[in-house]
Amino acid sequence: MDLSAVLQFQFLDAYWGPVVATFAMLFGAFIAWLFLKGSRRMAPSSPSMEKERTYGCGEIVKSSETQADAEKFYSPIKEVFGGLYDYIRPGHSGRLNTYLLWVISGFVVIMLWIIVQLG
Amino acid sequence: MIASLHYPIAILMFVVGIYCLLFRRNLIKMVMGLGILTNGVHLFLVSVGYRIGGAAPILTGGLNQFAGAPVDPLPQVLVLTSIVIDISIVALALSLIIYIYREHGTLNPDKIRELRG
Amino acid sequence: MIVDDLTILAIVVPLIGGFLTPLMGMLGRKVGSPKVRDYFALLVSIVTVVFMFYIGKAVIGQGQMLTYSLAGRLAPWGINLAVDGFAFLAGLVGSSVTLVAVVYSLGFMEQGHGLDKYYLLLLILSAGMIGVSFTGDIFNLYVFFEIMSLTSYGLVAYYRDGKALEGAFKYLVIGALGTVAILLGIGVLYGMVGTLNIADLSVRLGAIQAASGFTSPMMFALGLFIAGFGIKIGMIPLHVWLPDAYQAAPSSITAAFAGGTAVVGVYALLRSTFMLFGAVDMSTIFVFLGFVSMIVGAFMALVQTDLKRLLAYSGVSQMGYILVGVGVGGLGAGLIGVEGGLFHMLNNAIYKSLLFLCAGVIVYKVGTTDMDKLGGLSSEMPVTTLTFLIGALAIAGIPFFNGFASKLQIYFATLQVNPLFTIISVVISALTLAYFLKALGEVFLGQPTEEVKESIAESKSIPKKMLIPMVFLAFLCVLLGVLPQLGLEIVEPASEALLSRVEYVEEVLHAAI
Repeated sequence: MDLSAVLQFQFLDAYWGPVVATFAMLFGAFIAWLFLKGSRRMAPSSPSMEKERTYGCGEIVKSSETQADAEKFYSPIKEVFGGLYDYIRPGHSGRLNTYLLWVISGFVVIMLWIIVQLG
Repeated sequence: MIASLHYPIAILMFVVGIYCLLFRRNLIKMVMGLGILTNGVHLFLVSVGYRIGGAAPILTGGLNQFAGAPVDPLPQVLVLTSIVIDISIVALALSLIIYIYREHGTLNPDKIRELRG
Repeated sequence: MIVDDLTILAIVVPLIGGFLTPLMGMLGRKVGSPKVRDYFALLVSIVTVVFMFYIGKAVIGQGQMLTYSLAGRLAPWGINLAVDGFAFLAGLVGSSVTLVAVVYSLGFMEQGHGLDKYYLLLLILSAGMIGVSFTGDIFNLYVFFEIMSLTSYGLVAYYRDGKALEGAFKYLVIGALGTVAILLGIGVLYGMVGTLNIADLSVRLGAIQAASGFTSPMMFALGLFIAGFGIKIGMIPLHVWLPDAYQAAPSSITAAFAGGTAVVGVYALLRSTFMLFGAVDMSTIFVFLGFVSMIVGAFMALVQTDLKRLLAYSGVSQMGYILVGVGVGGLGAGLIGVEGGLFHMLNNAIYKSLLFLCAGVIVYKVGTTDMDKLGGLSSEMPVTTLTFLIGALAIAGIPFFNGFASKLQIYFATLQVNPLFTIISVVISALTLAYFLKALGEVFLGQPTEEVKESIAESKSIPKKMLIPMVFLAFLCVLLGVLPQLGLEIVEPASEALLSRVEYVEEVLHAAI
C-alpha cells in the first residue's frame, strides 16, 4: 500500500480521503475541547440534583413521566405514513398462517417477475 | 401411460402440502403437511431418473450389460439423503410441539402469538 | 501440508470438535470444573480461524484458487471443494463470528444449563457455514445449508420458555419451506443437464442459454433458488420469521445469525444465481426486492418497543442495501456496485454482531430488553454505551466509521443507474439514524427507571469475557472506517471472483484433467 492509495479511496470520478477527513474531524473536536476547557475555567460547573432533574414548576415529577414512550417516539411518522402501516403492520401479526401466506406470495411474485423479465 | 402419472401425482402432493400449511390451524397438521410436501419433492426427484423398461440399479450378473439398462441411481441417492434431513426436521418439530403444548396449553397457532408487531 | 488440505480441515475440525465437546463436558464434571469444555470449544474455534488465515494468504495474497477433491474422485464426477475470493470472504466471516460468539458465551452463559449441547450446536453451526462457503457441488451445498439451518432451529429454542419455542417453531416451518424449494430447484437442474457440480452445471447451462435462450425449466429453477436462499437472508417478503427468531434467541446466537448465517445465505444466493445462470439482466429483481426490504425494514423499526426486535428489522433494512448494491452492479454499474454490496455485507456482519452483543449485556444486567422499562444505563455501563454508540453511528453511515465507506460506494453505484435510487437510499439512511437515536436515547440516556435502579442495587459486574469481543468489534469499525483499503483488499478479489464465470470453471475442471 503506497501512500497515495492510503490517503485516497478512489472509484470512478469520485474520491473520499478517509485519513484526511479523520484528521479534520479530530482537529475540530480538539478545538471544541479547548473551548470547553476555557469556559469551565471561567465559570466552573457545579451540578446539583436540582439542576439535573426535570423541572416541573415546583411539583414532584416521576421519572417515568419524563421519558417518551418507545412506541409513540415517532408518532408523526405513523400519522403521515398511515396507509403504509395499515398494510405492513398486520403482516407481522404473529400468526403462523399469515406468515406462510406472505412466503408463498413471495414465491409467486419472484416467479412472475422472472417470467416477465426473461421470458 | 403409467410412467407419466408420476409428475401429476407429485404436483398434487405439493398442492396438498401447501394447503395444509396455509389453512390448517393445528401445529401437528402443519407438520404433516410439511411431510407430504417434502415427499412430493422426493417423488419428483426419483421420477426424474426413471427410464421406461429399466431395471433396478443393483449390480448383478454381467458387467457389460449394466450401463444401458438400469434407472438412474443418482436421484435415488439424493432422495435418501433428503429423507434423512426430513426426518431430522420432523423430529425437531414434533419435540418442539411437545414443549409448546406444555408451556402454552394449546396447539392453535393463532393463540400462540406472544411475539408480534 | 499443502494449503489445499487446509480447506477440508477447516470443515472437519469444527465438526469433530463439536461432537467431542459433550465428552469434554463429562470429563470436566469428573475433574470438577466446567471450564474444560469451555476452553476446548474456544480452542477449536481459534484453530479454525488460524486455518482461515493460512487459506487467506494463499487465496488473497497469491491470487490462486484452492481446490480439493474428496476421496480422490475428480470433478465433475466426485464432490470437490473450490475456494476462490468470494468463498473465502464468506468462510472468513462465518468462522470469525463463531469465535466472537464463543468468547462472548464464555461469560454470558455461565449460569446456563445444557451448555454441552449449546457448544455442540454452535460448533456444528460453524462447520455448516464453512461447508456452504467452500463446497463446489450443489447438492453438498444443500446438505451443509441444512446442517446450518437445523442447528440454528435448535439454538433459537435454547431457553425453552414460551417465546423461544414459538420463535423456533416459526423459524422451522418457514425454513423447511425454503429447504423444499432448494431441493426442487436442484431436481429440476439435474433433470435438465444430469450433473451436480457447480462448474459443470455452469458450462452446460451456459451452452443451453447460448443455444436457445432462457428455457422455462431454467426460469423455474432460478426462481426456486432465489426464493429458497432468500428465506435465510431476510429478503422481503420472505423475512417474516426473522424478527421473532432474533428476539427469542440468546444474544450471542443472534449475533452469530446476523453476522454468520445471513452472510453465508447471501453467498449461496449469489453463487447460484450468478454462477449457474450467469444472468446479469435478472438483477432487477434484486434491486426491486432490495428497495422494498430497505423501506419496510426501516419503517417497521421506527415503531418497535423491544430493542432486539428493532435490531432485527434494522438487519432486514441493511440486507436491502446489500441486495441493491449487488443488483445495480449487475445492471450497469459493474464492479463498483458489486464491491459496494459485498463490502457492506462485511461491515454489516461487524456492526450487527456488535449491536446484538450490546443487547446481550443489557439482558445480563437488567433482565429485559423492553425499551419502556429501560433508561439511564450510561452511568452504570460506560463501555457498553460507548460500543453501542460506535455501532449505531457505523450503521447510520457517519463518516469516520466503516458504514460510510460502503454506503458511499452503493450511492455512487446507484447514481450510475438512476438518481431516484440514490435518493431513496439516502432517505432510508437518515431514517436508520433516526431509529438508532431513539434506541440510544431510550435505553442509555435519561433518568434511570425502577428496573434499572433495582439492577444497580444488585450490582452484578459484567464479566470481562463479554466486553472483550465488543471492544474488538468496535475497534474494527473504527479501523475499517479510517482505512477502508484494508477491507477492500479482501472484498475486491471476492467481487471479481463473483463476476467471472470462466476462471472458476477452468480452475475446477482443469484440475481434473
